[in-house]
Amino acid sequence: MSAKNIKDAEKIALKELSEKAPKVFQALKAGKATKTLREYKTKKGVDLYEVKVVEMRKVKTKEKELEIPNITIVTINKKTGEKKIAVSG
Amino acid sequence: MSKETVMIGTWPTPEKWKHVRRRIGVADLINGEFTKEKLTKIVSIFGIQKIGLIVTCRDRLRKKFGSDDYSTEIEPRLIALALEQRAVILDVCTDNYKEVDKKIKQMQSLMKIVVSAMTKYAATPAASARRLLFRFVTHIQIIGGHDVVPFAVLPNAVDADTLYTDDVYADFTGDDVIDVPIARIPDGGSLDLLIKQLDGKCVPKAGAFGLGNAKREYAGPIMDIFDDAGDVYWSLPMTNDDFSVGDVDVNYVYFILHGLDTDTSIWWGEEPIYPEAFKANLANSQGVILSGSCYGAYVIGKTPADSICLRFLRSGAKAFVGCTGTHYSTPGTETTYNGPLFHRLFFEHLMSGKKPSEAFFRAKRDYAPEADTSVEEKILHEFVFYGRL
Repeated sequence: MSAKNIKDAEKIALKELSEKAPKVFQALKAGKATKTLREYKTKKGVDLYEVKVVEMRKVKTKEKELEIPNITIVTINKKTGEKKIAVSG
Repeated sequence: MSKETVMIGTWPTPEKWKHVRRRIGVADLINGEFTKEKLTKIVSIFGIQKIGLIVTCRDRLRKKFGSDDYSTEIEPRLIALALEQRAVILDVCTDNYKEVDKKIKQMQSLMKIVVSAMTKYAATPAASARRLLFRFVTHIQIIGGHDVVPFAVLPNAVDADTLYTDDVYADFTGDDVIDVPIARIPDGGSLDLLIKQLDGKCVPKAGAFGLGNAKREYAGPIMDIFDDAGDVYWSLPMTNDDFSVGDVDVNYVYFILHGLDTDTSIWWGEEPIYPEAFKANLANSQGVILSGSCYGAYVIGKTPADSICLRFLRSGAKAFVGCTGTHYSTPGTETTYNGPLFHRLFFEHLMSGKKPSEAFFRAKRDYAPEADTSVEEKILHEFVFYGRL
């Protein structure tokens, strides 16, 4: 399924997240994560849509508490509809 | 002839060392400022048309480690390394990576002019020009951390990281792909580390060790590259308390855990629990290590006391490959894109018999055409190679 516009891309990306990264999808629904959308062209000239979801997660070590950003990026090729999911870490 | 000069510390080929010493003089060879005329003379004596570059800043190393230690421990090893790697020492002291890059490219141009003037390459057809471009500088070995020779910085639209890389220095054609192998020995403010890495005497035990975030299933297929040589451990259930120092002293070591730039002494296991999976006190290996952990190779302002990566290098690791920033994985067992593709390419080249720096070079060259997204473009450049070429 190819995306006709950024709204289309968002729908496709959210469906992809619900299947392959359900916890990130749930965090987004619960308002615990932020979502950004953009479209861009790579250096090679490939046109892409990107949906990025960022959730800050706390890590407790013995001495301190740290925050790790949990970043999930769904990229959709405008021409072919190919989807790639990237998860930080 | 132009007055353009390049600093050269020493000259390769030990077998001709005595011969050259008679003809030119040791002092000139080690510390001289080389003009085209002088380089022409050297090339003529050796009949060599290509060289490696050792890039460092002697003054900064001297200030960092003291004149005595520099003179007795570091300088002789730099010279020995130059002889072994058939390289000259390019002494560049600046915080501006563009100036470092300019010096490297000047050296390439100077060698090209000198060699072209002396050989049949002067009449080479344009079609072969690109191929010949790489005949003059064969590899780049950086000595020192970011405060000795700065990392280059590339634009990054993916996240908030500053994208530190060494790729810029080895890209002679401006197509964002490295054209020659490049490696760095970061010093981490530790003379022990520097000596260990410059000496490069590594005798790892046979075998492989893998430790992965249990949510990064692709670590299984990656470890399969080593056949039956080793197992992958998962965190959870494993934590750092389950391992001892000797466990990672094997030929091939693979990590895919969580990491932070603010604390590089711990890597964490599966989210959202984030158990302490691996700590710096366990980092002791003479093998080849690849870490897909975020900031696995981030060493700016770090020492072996607070960096797993630098602790590995101080223990004598043959090579450490990792990211200077946030790393990106794939879901499930997928190894055909993002970070896992790079891991797989590197280990496959390594297992085919290539030496670590060559495997890294080939992995970058193979990964570049597959990097179709800005995430993959970032991954391509944020992986750096620490160790000797």
